[in-house]
Amino acid sequence: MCLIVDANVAAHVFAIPCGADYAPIWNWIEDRDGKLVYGGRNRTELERVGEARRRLFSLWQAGRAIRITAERVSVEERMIAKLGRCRSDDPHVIALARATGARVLCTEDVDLERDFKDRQLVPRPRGAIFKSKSHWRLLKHNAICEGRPR
Amino acid sequence: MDGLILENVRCFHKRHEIRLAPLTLLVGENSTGKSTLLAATRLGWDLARGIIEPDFNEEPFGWGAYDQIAHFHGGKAGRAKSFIIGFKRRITVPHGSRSSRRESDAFLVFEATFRQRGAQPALVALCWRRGHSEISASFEIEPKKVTITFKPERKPIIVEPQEFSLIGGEPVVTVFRKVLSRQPKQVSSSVAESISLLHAIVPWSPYFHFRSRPYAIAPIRTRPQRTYDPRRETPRPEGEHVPMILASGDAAGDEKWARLHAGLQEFGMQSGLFSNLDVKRLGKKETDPFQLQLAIQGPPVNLMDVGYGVSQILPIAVDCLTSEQGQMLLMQQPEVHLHPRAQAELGTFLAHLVRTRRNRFIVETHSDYLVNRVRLDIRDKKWLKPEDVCLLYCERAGAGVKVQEIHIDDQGNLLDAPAGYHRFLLDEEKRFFEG
Repeated sequence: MCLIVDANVAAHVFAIPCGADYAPIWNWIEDRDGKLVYGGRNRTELERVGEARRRLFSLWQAGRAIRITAERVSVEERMIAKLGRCRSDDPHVIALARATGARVLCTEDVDLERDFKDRQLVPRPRGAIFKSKSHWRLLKHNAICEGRPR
Repeated sequence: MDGLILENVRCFHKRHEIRLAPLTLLVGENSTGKSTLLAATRLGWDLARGIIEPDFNEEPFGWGAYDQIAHFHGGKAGRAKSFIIGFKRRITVPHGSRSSRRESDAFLVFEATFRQRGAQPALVALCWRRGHSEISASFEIEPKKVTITFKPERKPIIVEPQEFSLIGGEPVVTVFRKVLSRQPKQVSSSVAESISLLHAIVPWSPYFHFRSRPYAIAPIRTRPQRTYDPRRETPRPEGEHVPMILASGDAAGDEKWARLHAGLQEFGMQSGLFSNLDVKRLGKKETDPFQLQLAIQGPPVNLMDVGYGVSQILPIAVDCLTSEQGQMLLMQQPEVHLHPRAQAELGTFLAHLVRTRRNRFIVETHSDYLVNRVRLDIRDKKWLKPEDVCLLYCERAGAGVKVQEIHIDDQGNLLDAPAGYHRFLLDEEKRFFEG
């Protein structure tokens, strides 16, 4: 599944070197077919993080990062508001997953983790959280997320 | 052409069917077959037009002799015994009677097969195929024989070789019709229908986008001169004809020249290369020598006195703006000697021509600025839609190459970039930050 990086870990994930726990992410993105999706408020937040901002353009250029429009994220945010189940203050991240099909999230926000695994908020395939290198098996790209050919 | 077909041609081992779009960008490392794709496009057109002895070494391409063209498998497999060049074209086929006419889409496939004869490749078969219907002609030297085969008919028609002497001056299919009109007993209704169908789609029919031969521009354009003598405007891949085109246009001062001048000026200003271009005559007659002068900031200066990039891009810009509507142009590294700003603007320039003049371009490029600009123009809905652009990534694979289309969405995102695409740049970036 494509990966979403929450702003609260962006400085660590996008740092070079990024640390052993996030190294599998870059092996997957740079050496294989990994894709990162971002957009809406998530994009705004990431672009405030210096390390992320610097790397996002080159990743987009290389086809490793896929940018989604704010409008598409907003549509999903309205649907999430109607469901009334979101406990975190990051419905935009849930919306990004719903809009793109991405199902792996890198975050340290406990409430967001819970929301991301809620099947009523993030329908199948089930959302998963990447927190350390032991989660490397989650990093696989397939046709479900936005990085699919039309 | 909607797709190119190559089999066992140079580094293209096995059969490759490669999509072409109004703007096709060929990217990848050196020696990955990009120039081969350009040359094959023009060759495919020549073959479809009935040229049965195409020139594999016509400028700006040089494929060499048979051994340099046919793919070398290596080891015991050795050199390929034959190779194929062809193309695919989406056509709309009418069905039914006049009162109940309907249309359907189909793909027409054209293939030309070559084998070795002496040191050179020789055409041994041509084939036109649509669905289950096929018309093919095979050529044999000893004894001299040409066999036309229709599928699903069973019995082939043997044709006297001299009847094919017309080929080269007329499309093969027209020759088929003439030959078969002399053998009415062998022509069944389905064969006649096949011939009529194919005759309706020969290269100059309205079913084909372009009626002019794909025009190839050389990778390095001619050096500028301080003064030019009037000469014939015979198009040359290196662009030697361009100064004369400008001089003639300036002398004519007509609407055609006004459009060309305006187009050049617009591109010059947007790219930051020049704000105006003029022809300065050194006498009063059209036969007198002339100079090309450009204004950048301040008074006009001679073409020789500005950066090399201007003289490299000028032939490309002029050839594009003076091409026939709908014509296909083939380019190799048009970005050479250009500043990144001008490289990016070239992307918009080509996109604009695709939309306004229905030109088709196949561009071999190493410029990320050009590619990124096209992607951003798609995102910003300027000129092009995603389906108008085809980004083909060529990379080495064993003894041959692999061509993968990287799809672009309406936000300019690359949807399925393979691991090798831009890998070098990502590694360089990582190296920079780790330092």
